[in-house]
Amino acid sequence: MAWDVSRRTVVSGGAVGAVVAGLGIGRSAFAQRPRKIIVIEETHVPESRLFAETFINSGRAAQVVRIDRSFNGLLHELEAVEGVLVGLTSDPAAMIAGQILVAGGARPLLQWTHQYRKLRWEHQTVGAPTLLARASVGWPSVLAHHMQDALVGDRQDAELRCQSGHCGLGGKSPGMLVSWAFEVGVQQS
Amino acid sequence: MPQGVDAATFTKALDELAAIVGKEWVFVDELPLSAYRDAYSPLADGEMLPSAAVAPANMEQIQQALKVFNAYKLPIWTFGNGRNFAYGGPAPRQSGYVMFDLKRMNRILEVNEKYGYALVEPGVSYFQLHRHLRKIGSKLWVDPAAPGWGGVMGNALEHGAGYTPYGDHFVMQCGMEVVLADGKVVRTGQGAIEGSQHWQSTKHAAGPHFDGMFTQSNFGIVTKMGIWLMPEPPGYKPFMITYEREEDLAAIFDAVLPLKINQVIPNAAVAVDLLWEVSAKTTRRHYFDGKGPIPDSIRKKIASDHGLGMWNFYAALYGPPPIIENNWKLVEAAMMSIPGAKLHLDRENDPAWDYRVQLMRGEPNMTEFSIMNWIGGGGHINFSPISAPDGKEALSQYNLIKQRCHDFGFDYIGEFLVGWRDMHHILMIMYDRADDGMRKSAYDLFGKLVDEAAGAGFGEYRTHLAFMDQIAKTYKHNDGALWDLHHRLKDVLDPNGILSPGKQGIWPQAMRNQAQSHGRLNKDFKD
Repeated sequence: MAWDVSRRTVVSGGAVGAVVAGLGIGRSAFAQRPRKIIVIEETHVPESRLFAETFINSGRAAQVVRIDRSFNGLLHELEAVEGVLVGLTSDPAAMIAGQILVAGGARPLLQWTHQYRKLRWEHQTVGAPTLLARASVGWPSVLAHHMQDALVGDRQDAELRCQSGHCGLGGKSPGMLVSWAFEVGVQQS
Repeated sequence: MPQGVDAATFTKALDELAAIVGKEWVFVDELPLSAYRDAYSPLADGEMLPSAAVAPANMEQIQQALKVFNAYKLPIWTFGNGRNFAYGGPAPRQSGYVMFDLKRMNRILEVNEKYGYALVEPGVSYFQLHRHLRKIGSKLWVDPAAPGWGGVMGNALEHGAGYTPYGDHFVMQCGMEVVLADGKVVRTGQGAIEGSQHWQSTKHAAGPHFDGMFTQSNFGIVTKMGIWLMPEPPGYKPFMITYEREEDLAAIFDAVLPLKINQVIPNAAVAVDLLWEVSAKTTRRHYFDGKGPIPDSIRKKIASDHGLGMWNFYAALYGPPPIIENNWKLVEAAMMSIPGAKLHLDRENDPAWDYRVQLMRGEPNMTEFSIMNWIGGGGHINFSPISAPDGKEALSQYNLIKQRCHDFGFDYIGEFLVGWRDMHHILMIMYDRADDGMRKSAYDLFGKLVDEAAGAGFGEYRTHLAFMDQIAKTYKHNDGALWDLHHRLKDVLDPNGILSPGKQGIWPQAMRNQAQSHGRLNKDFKD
C-alpha cells in the first residue's frame, strides 16, 4: 500500500477554498462526462433566484433544490443527490454546502466570490471579466451563462477580478455571495 | 507529517491503521483532509492542518487503532461531528496531528420514553436525533445548539448550551462509556454495574464522579453518552421583550434572576444585542459602508427600522396552560416594569424570531449561520466569559468588552444567556476571513479580552483552539494548581501523550516542555 504523505502542502484556512483555488480542478473529468446539473437556489436571495432562473431557462438544470433561511434543506437534500451541484448563494450557505459535500466525497469544481463594496459589485472569477463588469443588476444571469461554459471546459484559466459600474444593492441581498460547483458521485482518482 | 515522525514510519503506521479500519477510511489526500479545517480560523493560512485522518467504525477498531498510535507515538485529535465552529471546528490543536474522526459511529442506541433519555454514539447530530424521535412517534424533545448540525455528544462534552429548559447540556448528560489511551473501556456511574438498567437514569453511584473529567479534556475517548430529553409539555409560550437602551441590561438581569432561580422561567433565557438580532435580516453594508464600529445614530435607525431594542430578551414558559398563565403574570410584572419595554408574542416575517421560537421548543435549524452575512466573508470567533447573572456585573462586562471591540474597529455583537445560576456572555467577533488585517485584529482583540476579563475576575467557559493555552494560564490560583492537576492526570492516563495534545491547554509531558521552550504557546498567529 502506498501513501503519498510527503508531497502535500495545504495552504488555505478556508474549508474548501484551498482545494478549489479558482477553477483548476476536475475540468477534464467533467468535460469528458457531462452530467446532470442540480441548481441550489437560496429563495430569499434575489441574486440566487436570478442565477437559478437562468440555469432553468437555458434547459441545463435537471433539478432545482430550494433552500430557505434555515439552511435545513442543505442538510436534508444534499445527502442523496448525484451529479454537478451549482449555486450562487450567501457565504454561509456556501460554507455549509461545502462542508457537507466534501465530507460526503464530492469534488469541488469552482468557487468564485462576488462582493458589493462602495456602490459596486466586485467579482473574483476565472474568465468573463468584461461581461460581468458591464452587467450591474443582471450579473447573476451573466454569471450563470459563464458558469455553464466553464463547466463544459470552454473557458480561460486565469483568475481575474473585475468591478461593475455604480449600482444599488437590493434590500434583501446579503451583498457578499459565492458561486460554486461540486461534482458528486464520482470516484476520486 | 506528525512532529518527530519520518515519512517511512508514518507510512507504516498508516498501513497498520488501514488494516484495522479499511483503506477507504484512512485519508491522506488534500481534498478529504480539507474537511478537517477550521473554515473560520482567525489564524494565518497553513496553521492547524492535519497530516491524515482515520475513521473507525466501532469501539473495537478504536482500541486496535490506539495500539498503533501508542506504538508510533502519533498525536491524534478526536472528534465526533466536528461542527464546533467559532471555537476551531474540527481542526487539530497543532499541524501534523492525525484526525481521529468518529462520525461513522452515529448510532442512536436507545431512546427511553418512560425516563426521558437517549444513549448515543459520538457521530449523532441534533438533526439526526430529532428526526429519529419524530419517526418513532416519541414525545421527547432534543435541546439543540443553535446550529442543529452539531453533535449531541460533542456539544455536551464541550459544555455547550441550548435554549429549552434542558439547555445546560453537560448537566443533562448522564453516563459515559470511555476508551482510555491504553484501550481499557470504562463505563461511568451505574454503567459499571453489570446488567444495570439505570446507567442513563441517575448520575449517582459509589465512588468519585468521573464524567466531568472526560469533558473539555484529553484523558479518554468517549464512545457512548446518555443525554436526558425533555418530554413535550402540554403548553408553550415563547416571547420576546425589546428594551430601548443599552444600560437597560442591568435592569433586565436584576429582573430575570429571581425568575430564573425560582424556575418561573425554566429555559435558557437570552438577551440579544441589536446587531446580533438584526443580522439575521439585513447586513451592515445596507446601513454603513465605512470602517470601524457603526455610529450610534445608525444603530438607532436600525432599531427603528426593524422594531428592535438595543437588547432583545427571549424566553419561554412551558407546562399546563393554567401554570403558564399564572407564571406569565410574574414574568410580565417583572420584565415589563423597565421603562420602554415592548412585548412581542409573535412577529411576522422575522427569521430571527422564527428560529429562536424553534430552538426554544427543541427544533433544530441552521438559521443562526445567516448572521455571518453581517460583515460578509464569514469569519468569526466567540469570546465566552462566564459569571453570575447580576445586572451590575453584566453591564460592567458589556461596557468593558464593547469598548475594546470599538478600540479594535469591531462592532459589539453579543448575547447574554442565563442558565441555572450562571450567565454566559457570548461575544461574536466577526471578520472577513479574506481580509488579513481584519483577521489579525480579531485575533489581537481576543487575546487582549482574555487578559482583561481575567484581571476583572472573569474566566471563559470554552474557547477557540488558538487561545486554549492563554486561557488555561488565567486559571492561576495557587500557582496554577488546577492545571498542574490536569497535567498529573494526563501523564498517568496517557503516558505517550497521544490523545489530543494541547486540548484546553493540557499537554503531555514531552510536548509540554518543548512547547514552552519554543514559545509556541499563545503565538499561533504568524504574519
